[in-house]
Amino acid sequence: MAGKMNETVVAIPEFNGTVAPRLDCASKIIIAHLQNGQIKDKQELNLNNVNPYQLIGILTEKGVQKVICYHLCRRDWYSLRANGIEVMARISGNVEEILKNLAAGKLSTSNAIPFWRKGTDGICRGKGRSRRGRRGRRWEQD
Amino acid sequence: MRKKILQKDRDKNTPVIDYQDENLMQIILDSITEGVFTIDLDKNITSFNKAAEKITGVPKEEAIGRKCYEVFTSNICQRQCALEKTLSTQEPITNLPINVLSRDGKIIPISISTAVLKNQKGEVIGAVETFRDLSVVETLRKELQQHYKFEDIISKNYKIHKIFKILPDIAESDSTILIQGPSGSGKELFAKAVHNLSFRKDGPFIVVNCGAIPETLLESELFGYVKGAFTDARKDKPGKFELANKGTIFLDEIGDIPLSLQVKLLRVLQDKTFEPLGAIKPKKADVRVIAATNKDLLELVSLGKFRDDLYYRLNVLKIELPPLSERRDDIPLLIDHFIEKMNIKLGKKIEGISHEALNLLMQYDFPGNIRELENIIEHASVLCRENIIGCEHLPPEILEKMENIKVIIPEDSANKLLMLQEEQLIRSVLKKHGGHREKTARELGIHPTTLWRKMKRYGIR
Repeated sequence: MAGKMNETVVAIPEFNGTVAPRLDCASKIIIAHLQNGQIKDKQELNLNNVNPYQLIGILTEKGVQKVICYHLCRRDWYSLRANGIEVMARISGNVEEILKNLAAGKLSTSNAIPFWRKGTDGICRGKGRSRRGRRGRRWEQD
Repeated sequence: MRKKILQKDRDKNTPVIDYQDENLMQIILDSITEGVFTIDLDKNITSFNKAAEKITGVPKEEAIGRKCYEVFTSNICQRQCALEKTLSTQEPITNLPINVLSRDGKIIPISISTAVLKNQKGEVIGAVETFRDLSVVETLRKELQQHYKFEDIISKNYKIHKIFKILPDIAESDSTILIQGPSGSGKELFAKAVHNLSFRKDGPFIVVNCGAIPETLLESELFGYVKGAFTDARKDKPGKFELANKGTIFLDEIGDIPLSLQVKLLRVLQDKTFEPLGAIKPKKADVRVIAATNKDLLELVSLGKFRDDLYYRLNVLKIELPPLSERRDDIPLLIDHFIEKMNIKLGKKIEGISHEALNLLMQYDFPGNIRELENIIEHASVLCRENIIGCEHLPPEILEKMENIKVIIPEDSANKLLMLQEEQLIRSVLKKHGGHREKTARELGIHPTTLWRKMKRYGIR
């Protein structure tokens, strides 16, 4: 049970052995089980007749906790997050290497956030002050 | 500074641009409103213009030297790369509708064209892709589509729009409706729309296909039976009229109902009561009846196969639906709708239909109406492995039927017609002036040289 708790299920859309440039258009996805610094199990799924909505369902069903991709649309990002799946975007390169590095804890994740969330890390800062300011000044009526 | 335009060929009025001047090339590329980028044989980006930066949101400095599929992230990059196809076939691709993912994660619809790039020796050194942002066009198209949508019915045909206008009024009343139209023309959709717009919308919508139920069973299906009504009636069974209480009952193919049952139906319509089989007391029917048929009920009345009193009871409000062949303007709209539907059903990512396939379908008669069109699109969607449905994906029987019909491309035919009329006009005016070219040109309002050129083109002597 303790071993199971250390297990991480990762999904990487693949294109010619490398991370596919776009998650929703990938023709296959690698689902890997990482445990104790090693790749325990790996399976390849064909996505040829799978639409984006079905893909999220498949990933949830397979118990995927983390999706590693290069780029994805906002719709998919929100859907994945809503289903409790962590997204690491802007990662490119050889899938095998990435899996090995991830298992060994060597994959740099400092920039692994989608382009449009760069700098925010998914957290909106300073919301309250800005909102109060706007309310007070009534920009719309200016 | 190097001369941008060489002096040679000046006499031919064809300025020659020095393509070796990279700065000049970049200026030209940047002045184009369409996005342009070029790649080498390894798919590395070699140039990227300003419009491309704007559409994709990727700065030029970041794009140059990187793989095109990492920068462009289009929906065809990983499956049917247009540049790869152009490089292998050396054939250009024009106006292919696709979508790209902008840097900020938005899906942008674009149209692309590709061509190979050759050096002075004629060797292929890469390819060029130009693309146009279709966001505005797409937004307008969607807005228009909303305008053409009424409940679940899609149409821009004026006959259908006339029905759309009166449908809320029809729905508001509680009168019986008769929907007449050929098979597959969407009678049930209209009935459902009326139900959804009526005050009975929260009640049930029960569909009965009178033609599909054997005559002997139809009565018990419609009105139900009580325990002991016949040998196998071990318990009470409610009929469709009872199930539709406070809702709407849709009686499809009403023309197939036997004469014996027509009397009972007439009673429901007149007294709003019915008697289940074997029952002693009549039951109240708080139901709105919508009947539909693909037959001419008036003709059935004259043949004595349909009761005239029932016909007049049903025909309080009448909706006549035209066949699809009389609303061809709806075909492209319906095709788009069915493609979207099939994409969800089959998990496909089809973007549209090719001009050739659309042309073919526009000329087809659709004896099975919209249902047939839906089946055709489903067939094509199953077979289509690309982004666009082509003629090869259409059912073979359609292609066979259309084989003898010449496919006319509208722009071409219009152009040819115009040229033919121009030739006839020139010939007639020339004849009028006895072949005098100056007088003819004056009357036609064109320069004599233009007239001479046109005469030469049409072979007029």
